[in-house]
Amino acid sequence: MLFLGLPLSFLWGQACCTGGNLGTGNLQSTILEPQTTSFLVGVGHTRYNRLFHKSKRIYPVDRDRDLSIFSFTGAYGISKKWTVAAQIAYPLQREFSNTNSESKPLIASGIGDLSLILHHLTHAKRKNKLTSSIGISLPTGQTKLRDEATDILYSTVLQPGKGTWNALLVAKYERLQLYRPTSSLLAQITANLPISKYQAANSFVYQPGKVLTFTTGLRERFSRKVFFDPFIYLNFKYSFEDRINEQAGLNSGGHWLSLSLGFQLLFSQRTSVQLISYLPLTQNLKGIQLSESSSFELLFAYTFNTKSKSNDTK
Amino acid sequence: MVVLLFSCKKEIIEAPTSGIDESITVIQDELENEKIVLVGSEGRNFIVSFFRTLSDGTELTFEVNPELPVVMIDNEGTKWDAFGYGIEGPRAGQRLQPTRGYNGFWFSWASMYQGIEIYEGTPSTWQLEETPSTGWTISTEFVAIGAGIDAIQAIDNPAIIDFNVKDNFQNDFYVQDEDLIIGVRVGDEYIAYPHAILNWHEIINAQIANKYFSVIYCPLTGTGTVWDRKIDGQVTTFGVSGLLYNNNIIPYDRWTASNWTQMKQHCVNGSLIGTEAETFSVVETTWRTWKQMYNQPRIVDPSTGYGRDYSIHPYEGYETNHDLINYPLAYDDDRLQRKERVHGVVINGKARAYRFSSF
Repeated sequence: MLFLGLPLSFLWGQACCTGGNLGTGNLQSTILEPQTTSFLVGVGHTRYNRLFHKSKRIYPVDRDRDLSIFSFTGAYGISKKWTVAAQIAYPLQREFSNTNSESKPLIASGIGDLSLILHHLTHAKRKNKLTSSIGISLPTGQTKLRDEATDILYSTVLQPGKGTWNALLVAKYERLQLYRPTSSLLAQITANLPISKYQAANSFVYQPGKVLTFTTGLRERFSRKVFFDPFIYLNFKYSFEDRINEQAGLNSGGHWLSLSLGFQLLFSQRTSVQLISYLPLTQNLKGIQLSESSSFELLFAYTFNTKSKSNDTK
Repeated sequence: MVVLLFSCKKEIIEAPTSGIDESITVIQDELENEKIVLVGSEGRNFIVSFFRTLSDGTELTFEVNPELPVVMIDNEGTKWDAFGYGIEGPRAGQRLQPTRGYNGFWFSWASMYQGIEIYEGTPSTWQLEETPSTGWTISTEFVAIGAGIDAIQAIDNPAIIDFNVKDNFQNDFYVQDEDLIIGVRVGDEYIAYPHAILNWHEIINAQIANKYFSVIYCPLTGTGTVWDRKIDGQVTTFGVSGLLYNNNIIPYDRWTASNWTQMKQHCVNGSLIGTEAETFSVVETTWRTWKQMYNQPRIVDPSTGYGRDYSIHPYEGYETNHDLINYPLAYDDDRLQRKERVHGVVINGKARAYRFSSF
C-alpha cells in the first residue's frame, strides 16, 4: 500500500500567506493498482512567526499566525496506468498579536476548494519511473467569510477558498534501487496556475499568484515487522505575486528553500502513516511577509481492493 | 533675487537656482462661505491651509513672503509661518486657525468624500448614499481587514535627536533631503516625524513637554495627521487596528478600544463613537525644506528598538503605481490619477482638493 493523493502544496495555497507554506506534498507513487480505492486523511500545521522584508529578518515579530489544514482524499485506480483522485480541505487559520495580549485573534476557517486530479504512469522501465498528473481545483471554498466580532469581510488571504479555478500540473521522476535495492531518488515539479480571477467587493479583482515548486531527495526502506521508509527532501518554491486589479500586490510573492525530513510506516498492505516536518532554510520575499518557522504534516492512508473483495464474495 | 508675479488669486515667486522649483504660492479661496488661504509649493512638497477670518471678525488677505520660516504676509503687515503663527508684525504671537486639511492620494480623498471638488477642476458626478452599518458611523462594506490588531506596531515615545549637519554631509542619514516628514510644533520645539519611520509603524505616540499626541500616517492613502491623544481628560495611545476604510488606516484608542477613521477624523465604532478627533496642525514637507524653515531641527531617532531598515520603503513602488490599489474602494474617481497627492480641505462636510501643481 502506498500513499497517493494530491501534493499537499495545492492545499496550502488555499489559506495563509503567499503561495502557501513550505509543504510540497508527499512524493510517493500516486498510481494505484486497478480497481483499488484509497482514502487518505491528513492534518498539517504550520506556524508563521518569522517576519521578513525581502531576505532580511525583522525583529521583533509583531504577530503569529497558525494554519491548520485538515484534508480528505479519495482515489481510485482506473487501470495500471491511470488513477483519479479528489481532495477537499478544511483550513483553520488564527492570527495573534504579540504585542497586545488582550486583543482577540483573527480566526478564519471553512470548507476549502475541491481538487480533482488524474495521475498517469507515463514511463516505467527497469529502475526509472515517471508519473505525470493534471488536475484542476474548483472555487468551491468559502470566499465571503466575515469576522464574527465586527462582521467585516476577511481579506482574500484569510478566506478558506481561493475563489479561482486553478490548473494543477505535476511531473514526478523516481530512480529506484539507487545505491541499494531499497534506496530511491525522487524529483518532482509542480505548478499551481490560477486560470480565472476572483471578483471581490466592488471592482476589486483578485488572482492568487502562480506557484511553482521543485523537490528532490532520497528515500530508504527498512523492513522489520513493518516497512519503515525515512526520507529527506530539498524543496524550492517560487511564488509569483498575487494580482489585484491586474497589478502585482504589495506583500506577496517570493521564493523559499526548505528541507523536509520524515518517514512513512507501512503496517500492512492497507494502512500506512506518514509524518513530514519542514525546516525553512532561506527565503527572499516581496514586501513584508510572515514566513514559516515550523511545519509538519501527518497523513494516514487506508487502501482496499474492490476487485479482490468481490472475488472473495464469490 | 525674487520676482513677484501678482494676480488677484495667485502670487508666484520665481524659483531660486537650486534646480528644484522652490517657489511658494498663496491661494485665497472660499468654501462653504468660509474664506480660507492656502500656501504651498510643489517643489517643496507642502501645502497648508488656514481660515482667513480671525476670531475678532477681521478678514485678512495674504501675499507670499518667502523668508523661511515665514511663508506669507497679510495686508496688515504681519508675517506668518507655515504653522500659521504670527512671527513679526502687528499680530506677532497670534495664530491663524488651521483648517482640518491634510495631504493624501487623490483616490483616497475621492473615495472618502463623495462629490469632492477639485480646485479649478471639473465637478464630480458621484452621489453615493453610504448607509452606516449597525454600531458604526460608516458602511463596513468598505472596511477591509488588512491584518490583525497591532500586527503593525505603533511606536510609543521614541527618542528625539538633534539633527547633526555632519550627518547630511556624510549622506548616510536615514532621511534624505527630498524625503517627506510630518512636522509638528509644540511650544518652541519643532520636531520632524519622517515618513521613513511611519511607513513601517503608521502611528507614533509622542509626548513633548505636556502635550500628548499621536502622529498617524497611512502609507496606503498617503495621509498624515496628528491627533491629541488626551480624550475627555484621559491620556491614551493609539494603535493600528488592522482595519482599513477605503484603504485608509483605522486607528484604535487603547483606552476604550474604539475604532477611529483617520481621514474623517472621528470615532466610527465603540464607546466613543461620534467623538471628533482633536487635531494638531502639521507641516508635511520635504526634509530639506523643514531644515530650511527651522534651525537645529529635531527628528525621531531611528534607533526605535525595532529591527527595521528605515532607509527602505516597505511598499516599494506603491506610491507611483497608479493602478495598484490594495483594498476595495467605495468609488474610483478618474478625474485625477489615483496616486496624485492633493491637499484636501473639508468644511461643513464639503470637501475640496487642491493639486500640488496649483502651487
